[in-house]
Amino acid sequence: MTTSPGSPRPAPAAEEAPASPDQDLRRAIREAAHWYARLHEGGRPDAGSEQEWARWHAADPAHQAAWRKVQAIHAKFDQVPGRIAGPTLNTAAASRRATLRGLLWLAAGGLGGALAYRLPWQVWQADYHTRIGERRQIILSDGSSLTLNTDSAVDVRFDADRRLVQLQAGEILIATHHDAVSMPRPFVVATRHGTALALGTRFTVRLEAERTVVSVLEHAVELQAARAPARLRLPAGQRAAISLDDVRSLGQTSAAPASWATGSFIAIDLPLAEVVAELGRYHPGFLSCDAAIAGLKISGAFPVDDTDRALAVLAESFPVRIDRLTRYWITVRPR
Amino acid sequence: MPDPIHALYRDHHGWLQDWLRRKLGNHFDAADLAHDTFVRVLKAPERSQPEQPRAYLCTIAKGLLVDLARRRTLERAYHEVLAALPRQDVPSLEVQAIMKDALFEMDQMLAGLGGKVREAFILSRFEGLPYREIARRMGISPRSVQTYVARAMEECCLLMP
Repeated sequence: MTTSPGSPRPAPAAEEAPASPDQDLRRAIREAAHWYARLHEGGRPDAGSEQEWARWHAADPAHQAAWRKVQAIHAKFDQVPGRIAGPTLNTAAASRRATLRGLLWLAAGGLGGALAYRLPWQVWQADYHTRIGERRQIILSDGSSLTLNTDSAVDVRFDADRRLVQLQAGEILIATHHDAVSMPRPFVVATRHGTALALGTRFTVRLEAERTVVSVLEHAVELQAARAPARLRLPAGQRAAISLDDVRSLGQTSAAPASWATGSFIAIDLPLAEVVAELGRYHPGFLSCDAAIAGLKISGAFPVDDTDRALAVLAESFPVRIDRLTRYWITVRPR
Repeated sequence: MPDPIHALYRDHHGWLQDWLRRKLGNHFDAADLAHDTFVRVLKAPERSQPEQPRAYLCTIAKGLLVDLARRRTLERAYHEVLAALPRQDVPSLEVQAIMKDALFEMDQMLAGLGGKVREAFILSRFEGLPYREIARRMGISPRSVQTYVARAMEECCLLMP
């Protein structure tokens, strides 16, 4: 006696029939699901479909049982308004992908499919966005330059009072241009954590889960957290983190905070785990490193436009090997 | 004869809680999850003493850890979405709590679906978009959208008790 995997309830212990009630129900559920999909195409289903459905529904008690299940699922998904449920489920899925646990879940959910679904909900409404591994430079209407790093999204809103760039995801490099209009307008980059006001300048803004990191390359930027009035003036060569409640200096910027804009990532004495995490941002899939070598100190320049080449560089220069489970699932291991 | 569960609890509860605390870095969650692990054991149909009790407990506890992580991520996303709503649209705390549980259930159901199946279903169910529009956004045919929506519904039905 066997139970088919994933069957909705255990097969009866009695002798096997050619078509068990279980198989009947499974088939009915498949048909009911197809009917559901057909009737929810959008707009009113035509009268013919409805009549056909009614005949199907009346034909067999198993069909009615299956249809009750479909209705129950439909009702369950009705408990939360779509404008809350959609973004919540999508944002949760997107942030899971940013964590190891999320990535394990991703493997369970089907690697290829889930990868096609990386961008969180808000990105669809963003004015500009980039895919994983993509980089894009845009000249804004005032002549300022905006460069989006991998997997990033922004809304640009310029009005009479200010020039606002809302960073929704990822990382950008801003090079502001003197505002040509008669009354100069402030140039502000906002994230969910707070704002960065440009004081004639070049700087990067990177949105992370719990904070926003700003690195200043030229001149200065004034930072403010969303929930605190205090401002911090951040000079060139410095970086700081904005969280909802405060702004904290992180000291000197990393080796070359905007080197990605020219296609490379520069590491100076960074733990391998950090280097791999950084390269992972440009790789459409799961890139990790073995815990045993996570602390290995790495220095070098890595091309971000070609993560395969970056990994090859890593394997040539350090005692590591690249273990490819699939093109998307890569682990850096000790040699 | 002493109850095998009782023996399991007596011999391994402290160890399990320590193990969980190391994983979670948090005493309260560890105590909760250790408790939940034993509740699962009590509810399990087989009540015999497992041969490798600690491995057995770990397997159950790991499942609960994954659930907890899922739940925390969902809660965070949910609060972000609520925070972005216009003030008059924010539901009462009570409704918020009910919705959170419902969302967690939905999230669990959708967890096993492939990305495209899930995307098509969410766009249809929550955005209310016609298949033609979903097809355009996803770069697939309306026929595929219908197949995906059907598959999502079928899997959800099979998951439902």
